[in-house]
Amino acid sequence: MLSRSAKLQYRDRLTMRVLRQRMGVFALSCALLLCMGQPLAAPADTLAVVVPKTQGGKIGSLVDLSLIYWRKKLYWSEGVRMQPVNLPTDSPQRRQFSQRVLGSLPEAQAEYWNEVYYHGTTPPHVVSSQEAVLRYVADTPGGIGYVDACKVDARVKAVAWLLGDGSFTTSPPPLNCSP
Amino acid sequence: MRALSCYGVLSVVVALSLCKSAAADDTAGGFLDGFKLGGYSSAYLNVHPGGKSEASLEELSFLLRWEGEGRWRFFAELEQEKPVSWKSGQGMTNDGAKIDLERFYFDYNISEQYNLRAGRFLTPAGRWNLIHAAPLVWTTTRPLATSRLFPQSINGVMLYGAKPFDNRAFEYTFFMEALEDQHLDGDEIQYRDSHGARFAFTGKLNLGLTLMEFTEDIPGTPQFRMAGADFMVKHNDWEFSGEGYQRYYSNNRDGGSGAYVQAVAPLGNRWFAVGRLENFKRPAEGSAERWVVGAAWRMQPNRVLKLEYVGGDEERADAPKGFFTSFAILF
Repeated sequence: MLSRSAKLQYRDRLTMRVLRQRMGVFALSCALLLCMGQPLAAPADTLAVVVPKTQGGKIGSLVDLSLIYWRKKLYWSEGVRMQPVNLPTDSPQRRQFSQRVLGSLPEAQAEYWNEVYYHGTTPPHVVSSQEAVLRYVADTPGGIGYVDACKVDARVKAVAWLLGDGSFTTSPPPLNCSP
Repeated sequence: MRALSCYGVLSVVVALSLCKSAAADDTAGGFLDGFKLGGYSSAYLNVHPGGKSEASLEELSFLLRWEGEGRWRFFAELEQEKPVSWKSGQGMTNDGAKIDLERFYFDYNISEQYNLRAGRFLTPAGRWNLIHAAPLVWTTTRPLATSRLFPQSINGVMLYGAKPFDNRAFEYTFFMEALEDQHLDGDEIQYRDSHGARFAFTGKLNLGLTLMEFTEDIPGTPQFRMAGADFMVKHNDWEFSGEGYQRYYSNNRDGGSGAYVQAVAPLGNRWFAVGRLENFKRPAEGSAERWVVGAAWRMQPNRVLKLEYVGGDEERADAPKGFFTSFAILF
């Protein structure tokens, strides 16, 4: 004959076991649903990541670059505030950069930017054209942007490249720029 | 309270007069140009299973940040809680209205991967506590495991940063309380001596681990140790997330636990279906199990309308049930 408290403990244990099983089934169902769908393919132009000519510091990897554009890394090594700049969301370069570096298209990032904004950080500045990116980066201490690699000129310094095949390099790649 | 409200409103007006809007141009200028002001607000309605209902303008929060050219940053959140509420049979009231300084801290960048924060900040435990603002979460109700097992805010210091790790980012946070909370809400639990750490791998799959020690400020209550784990993954508008916490007394006895798992599925036209299962157990409060089914309409990235039904164990003051709807906006 079980006491009342023992019965209650037994009922609690049973309830917890059932709940854990339900949560397990729920999590498994979620994982299966996740497997549905494939990511979008990226277009294929070489993009150059540009900084001011006098800017020190380096971008060692794609993850480094993503930390800058997710605004999780806010300062260059010498303490200058990073000032990332983006192209408009419908720009082919922005979409290619976003898909390759951040793993998603701009329209899928709204919730993330709301969260970041809630913590007092603003998304990268947006300018209207690649020429505007070059001007912004050239004139802004700590600036960093991306443009079609063939658009890079003497006003800025290219420090990394995203190749058409999706790879990342810090060595200048061969470019076939038509005049 | 009225005097406090006046000071709060006055400070907001002063801040508004000083600042440009959050959407304003970001280019550098003088000291005052470094200030930006934003905020959020939400209103909700709850129809309890027995038929009673209540509604309120839940909060009006102002977010103020400052950053200049150097390594310092500042951030504050001032919240006017429940400025107006209504209960069936009681009518309109502002009895629950109060001003709360939710966050107030300074950040200093030490180096690329090390940052120091000092002031009042949200406890970096799990995900929900860090993004609990109404426009950022999918449901009107909050999982109990994220609100009654550990302190939601801490007055103290924090060391944090992020660094690349393999193909993902590794984020770390170490934090320690320096000053006990000076003001508590009615049913809020007083904590002290809180310290801990949070580690997270972020990328397509986000995984987090929280380790904490703290004491509930009740005579004779020993120290708690808590371990928590959380995850969140998003793909093609689907989102799955969860958090789980287990607390132990310092003599290793069970000190309470809680967990939730939540799924969000796209329905089209910015509508999303939301489902959540949660459980919660706390010494002297017993256990509770709840489920939530509902929908959310993100009509704009910064505006969301939520509809949900909460069922499960017997309704409690800290675990309301029934039908909920709310509208939230981030500005």
